[in-house]
Amino acid sequence: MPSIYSPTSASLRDYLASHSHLLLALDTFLLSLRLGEFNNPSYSDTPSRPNEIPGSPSFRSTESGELKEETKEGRKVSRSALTLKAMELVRSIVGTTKWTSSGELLIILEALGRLFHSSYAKDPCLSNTIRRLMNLVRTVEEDLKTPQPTPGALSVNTNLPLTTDPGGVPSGALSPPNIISRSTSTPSMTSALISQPQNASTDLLYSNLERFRSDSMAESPEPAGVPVPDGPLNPSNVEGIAKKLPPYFFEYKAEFRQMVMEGFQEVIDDLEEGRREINEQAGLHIHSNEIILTYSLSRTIEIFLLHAHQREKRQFHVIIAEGAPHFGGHVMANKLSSKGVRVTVINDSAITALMPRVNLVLLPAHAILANGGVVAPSGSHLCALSALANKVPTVVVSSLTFKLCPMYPHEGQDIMQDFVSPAFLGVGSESDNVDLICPVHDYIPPELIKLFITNVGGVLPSYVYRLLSEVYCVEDPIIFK
Amino acid sequence: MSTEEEKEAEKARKKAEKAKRAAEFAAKNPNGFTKPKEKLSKAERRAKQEAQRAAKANEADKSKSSSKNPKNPKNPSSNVDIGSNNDPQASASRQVLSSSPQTLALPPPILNNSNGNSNRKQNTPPRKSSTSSNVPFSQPPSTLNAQSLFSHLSPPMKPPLTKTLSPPPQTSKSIHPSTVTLCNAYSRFSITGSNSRCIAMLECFKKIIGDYEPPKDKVMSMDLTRVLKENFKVITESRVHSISMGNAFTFLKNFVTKIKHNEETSVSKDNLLLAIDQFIEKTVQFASDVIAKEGSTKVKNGDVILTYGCSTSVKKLFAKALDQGKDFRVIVVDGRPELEGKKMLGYLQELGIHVTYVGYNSLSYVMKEVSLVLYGAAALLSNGSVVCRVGANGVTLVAGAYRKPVLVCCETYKFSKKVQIDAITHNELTPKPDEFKSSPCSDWVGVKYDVVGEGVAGIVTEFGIVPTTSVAVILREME
Repeated sequence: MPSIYSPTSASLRDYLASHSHLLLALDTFLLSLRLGEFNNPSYSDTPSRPNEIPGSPSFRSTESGELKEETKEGRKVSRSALTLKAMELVRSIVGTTKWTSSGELLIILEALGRLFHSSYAKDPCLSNTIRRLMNLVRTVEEDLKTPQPTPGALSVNTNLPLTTDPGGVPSGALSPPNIISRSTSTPSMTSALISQPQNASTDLLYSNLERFRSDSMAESPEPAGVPVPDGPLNPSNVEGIAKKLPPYFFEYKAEFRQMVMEGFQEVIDDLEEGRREINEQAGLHIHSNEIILTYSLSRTIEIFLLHAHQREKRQFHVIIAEGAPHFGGHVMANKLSSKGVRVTVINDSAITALMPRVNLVLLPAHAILANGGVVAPSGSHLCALSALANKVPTVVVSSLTFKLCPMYPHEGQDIMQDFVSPAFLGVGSESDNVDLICPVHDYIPPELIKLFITNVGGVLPSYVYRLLSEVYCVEDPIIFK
Repeated sequence: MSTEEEKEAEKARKKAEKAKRAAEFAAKNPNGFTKPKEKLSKAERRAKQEAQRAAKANEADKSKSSSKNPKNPKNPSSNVDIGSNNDPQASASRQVLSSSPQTLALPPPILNNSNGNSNRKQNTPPRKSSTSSNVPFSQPPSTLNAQSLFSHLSPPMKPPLTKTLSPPPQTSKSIHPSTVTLCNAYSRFSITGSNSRCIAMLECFKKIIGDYEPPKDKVMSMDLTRVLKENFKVITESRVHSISMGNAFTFLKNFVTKIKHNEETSVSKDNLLLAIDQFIEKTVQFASDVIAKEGSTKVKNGDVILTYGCSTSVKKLFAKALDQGKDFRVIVVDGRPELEGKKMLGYLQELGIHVTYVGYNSLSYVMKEVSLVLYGAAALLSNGSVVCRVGANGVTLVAGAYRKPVLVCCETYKFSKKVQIDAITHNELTPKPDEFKSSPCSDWVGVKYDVVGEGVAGIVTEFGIVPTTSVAVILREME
């Protein structure tokens, strides 16, 4: 079993070499990310109706249209489902591989984060989840550290003498490499405390760990399948964020794995339960005979409104702006009105004209930024501006579990921006002297947002920074590159 | 108009009169002694109430429109549609057909969804009457839908049914064929934009005046005023008139009333035609030329100008600025469903100006690089509100958020003494686009105009660039 020193794709692959099923699952997942199979319908890469005449996007109500929509939705999943899938993949990798310390686990997570980022950079949900898990690992490690680990408790599980001093600094290579066979399935903890960099890794094809190899190792490269050395990492040789880790992150702690896996489960539960917690607040925010304006398509808002309508028995009217270029508003309107909610669809340009009649603006979020601003579907910035001009509260309904991002909107409207075909305008770009632009996202500054309705309750934009420091660690990378 | 259509109109008229008599009778005999009670149907009672309410409303805002002339409040058919229509003009053409007793007996249309959300097709006469007698009234009064959001506005006109254009009975002789053509063009939205609509209407009036022969026993100024008023009324039935049209009609009416009794008919007609030509030339076209000149002074080299919709004066302004050798590029923002900006795009391409064409959703994204926002107005109200194409308010808001100056081009003949502070109280509903007609359950609503209350740096008029607050002053000066 090799150790992982560097959070690169190659070293992660080497690390997983012995677990072909994990590699397969990871590659399948990355491939489907790259193919855009997890694209949320409302943020999908391609214009939603490529086959239709530009300029006259027809409503998806005809029989064939609905069929098309169904097959589409059968393939495409929401972002929360995508995040859940990614989480489960991460859990199976972390649960199966034989990492020995939190430092090593952090390197694995960082490598996964980089892989996800390179496959699916436009959506921050995967990076956010990884960052969250990394913070979890750190927290567990800190929790274990605070009551000074007693050498006795640890040595129970190991056959080797403990090689750390109270300060947590490894004392170096005191014991010979402990060779264990992969086939014996001996728990790796038995060989936990070896810190011989020479024995860290074997068959490195792409990794830059070559330079760490000792001469002796280079002379006798081990073929695959031969028992490989296993041991804790040498903190001085690691790369990535693990470089900055204090030495005690590279120690073996018996209860660590158990605690981390429990924490992972909690994060997964959070993902699954997030919407339920949001929905519970529906009655607090929607009163009867209200006129609510919402923009484009959002599964969270749809469920939120349905909850208010069905459970809380509130009578309200929803005005949905269609939300070019994807026209998610049309889909949303169909979904809501089929459940008995009164719905009116409007063109995006009519938002400002109708705003004086609106009581509440609900907006979806693609990402929530560190300053309390929001990345939302393009056109929603206008919604928020118009609401503010009419003193109508703008409320962003979103789960924080995977949408909270640690970055600031230094790029303005360009943050997390993505572009799609402006085919819906029905103008050919072949003509000279004409540029066509169709951005997918808008950045909404925090001063336009009255409230966030999240899975942790109502939150002010000015409070988001505090939540950030709770779920993420400042030392973890803001962008996995 | 064909004889067949006339016959049909005649038939419908008779029916209407019959229904009217019945309602009057019912009104005089509230207990319904001589009439079986069930004959005074729910719809009829409601229609009566509505008609009374309409009459009241009409009295209240008589000053609102120069062309208003009160309908017979007792007419049972005048407001069969949903009771949403306080404007007797708008319903005048439809009353003829909708009052037919058979249509009232029709089953509710299949199109109606369970919510009773409006379906925009209801202005097909038979459907309308059945819709009104069944669906909307079965809802509790607190029910909200698009209909109730805009129940104070007349429903959008149904595009072209020559039948609906059949003139009200007593005036049929005065309606000129070119009026019918014009009405069709208006209701199909083939003539849009306040300038074009106004010019088309004046051209139509020129034909009417050209063909006009005063009856021997009547004074020309009086009779011609009546004829023009009747034609104008029919025109407004095809589509609610713009303020530019209203103002132009007021001008024409004033001119007609000044015709001297002893003047030769041909001389008066020539004078009138000349006056109309001068109005078109000076007040409309020359004004926009001056606006183009005034506005182009604000275009600097390297400017990025954002425009919305397709305004004649803005077009002229771009051409003028290009003539002056200014180097600038234009961002055309467009709003669905009309996508009027395409016309602007085509025009600018012909001029050879570099254009960026974006949808309404891209507004916030492109605003950063803009140095000036320019669009045309449909009207300017005396409280400083700018009435313009729906969506322009959003453009102004985003421009305000990015601290970009907004200039609005507007000829002074579009200034009005009216006041309005939002786009809901008075607006024009648009017909449901085709893509929504097949929609199973959702409702759609669209309006034509936006009212921009603030955020406009200046209005470019033929008198120079002035702030919006100066509208009232200019109006007073113009008098």
